[in-house]
Amino acid sequence: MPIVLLAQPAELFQPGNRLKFGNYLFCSNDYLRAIDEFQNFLKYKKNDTVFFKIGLAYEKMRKYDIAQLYFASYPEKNAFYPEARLEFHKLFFLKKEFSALRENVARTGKNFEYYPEIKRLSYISYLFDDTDLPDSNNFKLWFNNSGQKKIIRYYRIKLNLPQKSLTVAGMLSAVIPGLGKIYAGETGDGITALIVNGLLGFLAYDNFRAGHKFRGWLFSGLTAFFYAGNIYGSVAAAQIYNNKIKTGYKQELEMFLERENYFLPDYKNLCK
Amino acid sequence: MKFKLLLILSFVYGNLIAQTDWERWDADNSVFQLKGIQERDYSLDKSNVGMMALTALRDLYWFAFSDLDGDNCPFHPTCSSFFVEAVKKTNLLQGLLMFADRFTRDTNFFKGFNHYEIDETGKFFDPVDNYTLTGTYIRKQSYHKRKYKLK
Amino acid sequence: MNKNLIIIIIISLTAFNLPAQTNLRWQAAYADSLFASAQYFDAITEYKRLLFFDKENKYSFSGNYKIGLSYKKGGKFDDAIKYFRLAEKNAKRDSGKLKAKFQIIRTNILRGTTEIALNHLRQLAKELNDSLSLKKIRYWKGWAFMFSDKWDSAKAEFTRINPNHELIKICDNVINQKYSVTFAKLFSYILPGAGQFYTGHYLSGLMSLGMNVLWGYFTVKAFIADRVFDGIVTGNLLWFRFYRGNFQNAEKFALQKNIEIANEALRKIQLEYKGEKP
Repeated sequence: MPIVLLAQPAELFQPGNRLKFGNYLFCSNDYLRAIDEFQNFLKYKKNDTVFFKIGLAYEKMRKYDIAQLYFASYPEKNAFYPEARLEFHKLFFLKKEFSALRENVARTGKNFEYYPEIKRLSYISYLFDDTDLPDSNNFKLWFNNSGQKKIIRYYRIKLNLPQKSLTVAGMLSAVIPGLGKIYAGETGDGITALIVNGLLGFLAYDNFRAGHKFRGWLFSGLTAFFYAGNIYGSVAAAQIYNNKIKTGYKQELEMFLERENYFLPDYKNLCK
Repeated sequence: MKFKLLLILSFVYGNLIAQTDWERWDADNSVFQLKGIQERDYSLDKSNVGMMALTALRDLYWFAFSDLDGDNCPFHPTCSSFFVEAVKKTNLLQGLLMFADRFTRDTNFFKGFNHYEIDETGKFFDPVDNYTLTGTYIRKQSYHKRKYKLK
Repeated sequence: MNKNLIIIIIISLTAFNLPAQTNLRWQAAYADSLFASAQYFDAITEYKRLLFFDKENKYSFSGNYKIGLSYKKGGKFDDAIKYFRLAEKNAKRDSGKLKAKFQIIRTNILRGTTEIALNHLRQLAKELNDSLSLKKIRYWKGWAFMFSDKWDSAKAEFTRINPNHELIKICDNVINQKYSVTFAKLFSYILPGAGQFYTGHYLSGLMSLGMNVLWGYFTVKAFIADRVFDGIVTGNLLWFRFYRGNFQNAEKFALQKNIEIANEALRKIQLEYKGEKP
C-alpha cells in the first residue's frame, strides 16, 4: 500500500522508536498494537525479550494457542528458555487442559529452574478436575507457609463440596413424587410435583370408579407422564445443584489464583 | 458480599475496556435505531420431518392461543420453545420428560423462591442445556455486564 | 480519483515543506490520512504514536480528540468518551474544551444514554449564555429527545432555534403518525380486538374477538344453567385470560408501531438530512 511505503522513512518508524512505542503499548494493555510494533522491530533486529513479550501479549489477550506456540519455540540454549517453558506449562493451565499439564510436568526434570512452580500448577489443577485429589501433604510440600494455608483451605472445601447423588434423587422421586426434588434443594418444586401427581392420580382413580373409562385412562396417562417427568427432573435438579456449587467454587478459586498470580513470578520489571 | 459483587463487577468492567482493541475492527455503519419489542420467530425447523412437524405444531399453538392470551410465561425460554429446543437437543422421549418437568416447575406457585437467575426482561433464566443431563451448566452472566456506571 | 493519491500528495506537502517539528507534523498528517480513508483502527495506532513521541504535549488535545472520533466511528462509544474526556482535560483553550464536551454529548446520544447527554446539556446551559452556544445546546437537546423517542420535546427545542427548522417537519410527521397507546388499550377494553384493528393487526383482532365471544358464551351459559363451578373455572382460566391478553396485545401493537414509526423517521434523517448529526 502506498501510504505505508511512504510512512517507512519517517524517524518515528525507525526500529528503536518502534520498540519504545511497542513497549508503551504493551504496558498499557494495548497488546494487539504492541505485537505489531514488536514484529516490525524484529524484522531489523533479533531480540529475545521482545519475542518473549509477543508471547505474553498473546497470552494476555487469551489467544492461548498462539502464545503457546511462541513459548514452545525457544531452544534450550536461549537465555529465556526457563521462563518460556514456565509460560508453556502455565498455558495448559489457562486452557484448562489439566491432564496435558500434568503429563508435561511429569516429563520435566527436577533440575529445571522453575520446577517448584510448575509442580504447584499441576497440584492446583487437581482442584479444578473431577479426578481424585492427591494427598494434602503433597500440596504442603510445594507451597510456602502463607500459600499453604490458603491453598489447603481450597483443598478442604473441594474435599467437602456438598454434592447430591443423581441416583438417590431419581430413586426418591420414584418412591414419592417430588421427594427427589426436595432432596436436591428445590422444596417448592417437590411439593408441587407431589400435588400434581396426587391430583392427576386421584382424578384417574375417581373417573375409573365412576365408570368413565376414557377419562380414567386419560388421567392415568397424564399421571404416568408427569411421574416420569418428575423423576427425570429430580435427577436434573441434583445435577444442577452440583454444577452450581462446583461453578461457584471454581470461580472463586480462579479469582483467588489470579490475585496470587498462580503462585508464579510475575514480570513486573518488563513494565517499569 | 457487597464488596465481593463490586469486585466481580469491576473485574468485568476492566476487561471490557481493555478488550476493545484486542481484535481489529472496522467502521460501524449501523443506522440510528431505537430498540423494538422482540417478535416471535415463527420459522419452521427444516432439519428433518419430525422437527418440521413439531415447529408447525408450536406455531399453531402460538397463533391460536399463546399470542392471544397475554404474557403469562415467567420463564425464558417459554415452555413451548423449551419443549421444541429440548427435542432438538436430545430426542422426542427425553424432550417430553424435560417438558413434563418444566411444566410442573411452572405450576409451582412459589417459584420466585427458587434459585433461578433473572434475565434482562425480568424472566426466570432456565436454559434447556442445564436439563439435558450432559453436565453442561449455563449461567446468565451477561445480565451484569452493563451494570457499571456510565459517564 | 484515487483517494490514496490525494492523501499522498497531502502528506508529501506537509512532510517536505516544514522544517521544524517535521516528524510530528508528518505523523499527524499520516494519522489524519488514515482517518480520512476510514481506517479507524490504524488511525488510532498512529494517533497514539503521535501522542507518545509528542514530548511537548503539542498534540495532546487534537490527538486524543481524534482517537475519540475514531472510536466513535467504529461504534466503540465507551472508549470514545474516555478519549474525549482526555481531550477535554488536555485542551489549552476553552473552545477545545467545549468541542470535546459536545462530542461527549453526541456520543452519549448515539450510545442511547440520552439522559446523560441531557444532563450534560443542562449543565452547559447554566455555564454558557452566548446565543450561538445556546442554539447549539438546544440543537443537541432536540437530538437527544429524538433518540429517547420524545418527539414533542424535540420539536419544541428545534422550534426555539428556528420556527422553520428542517427537523420540525420530521418531528411533526412522527407525532401525527403515532398511535395512542392509551386509546388502543381502552378501545380493546370496550370491544375485544378493536385496539388491534386500530393498529392494523386485523387477523389478531378477529382472533381475539372470537376467543372472547367463545369463552364468554360458555361462561355465561354455565352460569345460566346454574353450573356455578364450571362458570367460575371457564371465566377465570379462559375468558379472563383471553380478555387480558386482548388489551395487552392492543397496547403491545401500538407500542411496536410507534417504535417502527420513530425508526423510520430516524433512518430518513440519517440518510437525507444534511445538517450536523451526532
